[in-house]
Amino acid sequence: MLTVKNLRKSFSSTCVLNDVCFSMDVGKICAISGSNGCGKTTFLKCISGLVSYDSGSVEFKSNTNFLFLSDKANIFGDLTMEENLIVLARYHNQNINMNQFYDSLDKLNIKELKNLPLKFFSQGNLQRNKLLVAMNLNWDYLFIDEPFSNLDRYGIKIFKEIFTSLKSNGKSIIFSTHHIDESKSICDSMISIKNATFKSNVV
Amino acid sequence: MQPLKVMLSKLIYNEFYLERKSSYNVFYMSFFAISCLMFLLFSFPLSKITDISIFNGFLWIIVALSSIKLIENSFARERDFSIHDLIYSSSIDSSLIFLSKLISLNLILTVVQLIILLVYILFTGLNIDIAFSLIPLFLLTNFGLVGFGILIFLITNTTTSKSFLFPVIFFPIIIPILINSSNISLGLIVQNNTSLYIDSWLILLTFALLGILLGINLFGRLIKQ
Repeated sequence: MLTVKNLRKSFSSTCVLNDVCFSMDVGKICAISGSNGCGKTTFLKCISGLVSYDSGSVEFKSNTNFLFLSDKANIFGDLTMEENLIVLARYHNQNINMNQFYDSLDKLNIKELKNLPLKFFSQGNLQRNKLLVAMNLNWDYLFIDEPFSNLDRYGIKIFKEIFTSLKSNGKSIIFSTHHIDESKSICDSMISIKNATFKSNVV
Repeated sequence: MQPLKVMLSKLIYNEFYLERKSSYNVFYMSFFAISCLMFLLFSFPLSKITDISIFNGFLWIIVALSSIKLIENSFARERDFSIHDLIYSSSIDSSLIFLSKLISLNLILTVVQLIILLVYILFTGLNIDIAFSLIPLFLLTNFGLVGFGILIFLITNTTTSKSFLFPVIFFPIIIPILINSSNISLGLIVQNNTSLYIDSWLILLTFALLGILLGINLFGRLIKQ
């Protein structure tokens, strides 16, 4: 269970998140939408501990693992997908199951790129690599920023299928997005941020 | 939960893996250091080149310059493709990541220092045993240099346009380290009694301990900035 109470975050004199309260059970998917600069990424960074906040609290049930994937590439450019994943697994103190890795390459349709350094990947394939990382590391909560950006229709369809499959395994996902219509079919709840406050809608 | 020692060794292995696969710091830093040394050798008359006090001064200037590039490169590979968020949001204590960087960069800088020394020995015909006697000094000095360097880098490099602040603040802080290291290395090379430099050893030890302790306590907070 993730519980956020009265979270407040401001940059200089601009308040980005004001008195935000939020809770989420395991095995749910939640989308966060809102206009550019409204605080979607800041919220994800606050709950993953990457950015300090002014006041409030973020609490997870004990022994909860989470993974934060930003909207950037999230790679070591000179490494291949496998090498990148192995290095990240060491940073997260985990081991990689290679059968699961090859299986996820198939699911994401990027098997032919497995020997190519990641710096040569297209934006869409970098997005797929992000999901590959998520599929092979162990976590309870996934915070992912703009997962559908740079993806074609087929890519979005694959992502939605994988999100649903992760959810059925008891994983929780919070993602920010501008693709509201695409997200509705997989989300348990959607939140829009306006004037630094949350407006919650159950789908 | 794995013991801290196992987790730390995994992280150190990661640093060396990335060094081998991606950064090539040992190669680039050695090339840079040897270029600086060549500049020295071609700038001075032959009689001065064998003057160990001149080489000693240059050695530590080169080390200071190399340490700046080494620290910058270590963070650049994380920032180039924005993987730092993914690394620093992991459940591993950020002080372990600091220690792994400190130890790996220390060893890489020591290798670079030995390469400069060996090239100089090759040119001047000094006894190679000097290189071995200087290794403990290099290791102790590098703990201070790299420890403070990482912290100052994180404080100053909030934006690329402010990156010039790193050497501007770093150099004045490491001057005591460089002066005392230079004293000890000169003493070791000319076979003086090194017990004369006990104060210098203690100052280096203080900087090393301060660098380690401040890093363990502040690294996580500075990364979040």
